[in-house]
Amino acid sequence: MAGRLVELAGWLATQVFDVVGSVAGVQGADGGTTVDLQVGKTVFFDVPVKMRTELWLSQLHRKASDGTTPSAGEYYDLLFEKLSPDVLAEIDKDTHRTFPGHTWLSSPTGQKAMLNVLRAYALSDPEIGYTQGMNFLVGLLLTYLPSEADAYAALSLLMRQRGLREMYLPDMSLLQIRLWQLSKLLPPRLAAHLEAHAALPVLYASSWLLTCFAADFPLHFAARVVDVLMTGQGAASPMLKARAAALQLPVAVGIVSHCEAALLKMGDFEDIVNYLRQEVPQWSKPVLHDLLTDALRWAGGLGVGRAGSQCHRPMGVAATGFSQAGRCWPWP
Amino acid sequence: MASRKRTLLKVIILGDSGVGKTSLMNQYVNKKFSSQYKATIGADFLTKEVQVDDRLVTMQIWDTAGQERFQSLGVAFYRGADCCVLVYDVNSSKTFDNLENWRDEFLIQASPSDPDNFPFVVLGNKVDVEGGKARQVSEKKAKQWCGAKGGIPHFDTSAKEDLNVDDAFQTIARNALKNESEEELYIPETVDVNAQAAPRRAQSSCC
Repeated sequence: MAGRLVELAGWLATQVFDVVGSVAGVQGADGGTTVDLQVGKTVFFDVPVKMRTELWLSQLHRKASDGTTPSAGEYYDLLFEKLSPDVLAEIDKDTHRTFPGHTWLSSPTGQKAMLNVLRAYALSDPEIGYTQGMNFLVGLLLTYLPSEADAYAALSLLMRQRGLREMYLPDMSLLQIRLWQLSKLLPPRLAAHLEAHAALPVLYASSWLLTCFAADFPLHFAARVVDVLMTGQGAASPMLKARAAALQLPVAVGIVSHCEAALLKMGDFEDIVNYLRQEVPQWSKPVLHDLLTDALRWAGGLGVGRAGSQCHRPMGVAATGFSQAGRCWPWP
Repeated sequence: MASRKRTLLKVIILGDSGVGKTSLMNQYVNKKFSSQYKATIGADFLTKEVQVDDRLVTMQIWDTAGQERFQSLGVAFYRGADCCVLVYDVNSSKTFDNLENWRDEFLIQASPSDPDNFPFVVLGNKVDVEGGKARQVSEKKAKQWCGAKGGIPHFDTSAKEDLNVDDAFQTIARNALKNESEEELYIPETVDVNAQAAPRRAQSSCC
């Protein structure tokens, strides 16, 4: 009986959230109602936001049918469990300062939604609990998914099936490994230059990797990375799955490599780190779009994930600035 | 001594999540307060030119993530620090109790050459909250702790209302500079090939 009630309450909550989400959350992403969607090798330009929602949901439903992602019922059960006050306090401190400029996520409803999802995840995975950075990932998921339960399922999918989980373990060892790998994957001359000026990856890339770029880059950029992560291109075999997990790494390598010429001209540690952390994320949307396409090409070149070889635009968008060939890259 | 390189002071701000590290740094450097700061993931830094007595120095202030598990990344940030600022929230005794942990962790990871005399400054932030009624850590208690740790300077601050922020950072800069100059004594600026190998560490006669 109690179980049924919980389920009913959960269902009602979804319905309410559906409305709130579609009005405030989804349209609030970067203030636009269209997105550039990365589906496998293809970029769809200026398609309705709803398509991203559908893409992500389709992955969740596929995974839910084989029991590898949690159901909405599991999520609502978790909402009634008690989390340690210390962990809850850590989450609560951060949901108030995640995407402060975002209309819905900075509102009490948005903050509550992030808190609920992070709280549920912490309960489901006590070894991790909560690590700073997950808050941005959850905010990003809630922006495009219609319910908290979906965002929770998506987080679980990314953490457990796409290998993000290990990066949030309390000893942060996988993050350290990824940062080390980043320095080794850069073009040697650039790597030597950055090292000579003590501009280590830990100083500029920690938050890129821990937030899937969402804390530093605009949502349209981070969401496209999540498109690729969610669809887990080539993740069928365990080996490929493990490699897909590291997608943020080659994207980071791609970003830094893209800036090679500019960085080589800089002779000062502060200039280098500020350039990567402050200036690059503020580039205009078309420039960032190219940067990510380029970076995803790097990812493909390294055999991790696949994206970006064809461009599909709806009719009449040629004048938006995403018009020229060269905005899409053939896969190497 | 002719044109020497600019003096760079590296200052690290540590303390629990949410005590106001980012706000203090921004209030000092940019003279503004916002309730809209993002949680710091990893670390950020800002720089500011400061006049200390008759010297113009550049202070590079490092703001770090407050969650305890991020301490394992500390070594990359702490290296070469000239002063460490420990921040707690006067309205939360837990954040004060953790100062001990932050201080120890810093000394282990930064391994300064003279840990007993490494300059720390303690800031009790958010004194503005509820006009001080929410306060859990008295200034007396904080100063006692600072005294027991070798006389660490302590300031009550409010990043929101810009209370004591300048004074605190002036002390931070001065103590960092003192530490930096002492370290410099160990590095000969010219090499006299005729001289015997100099002792690696000269004892500073200063205070």
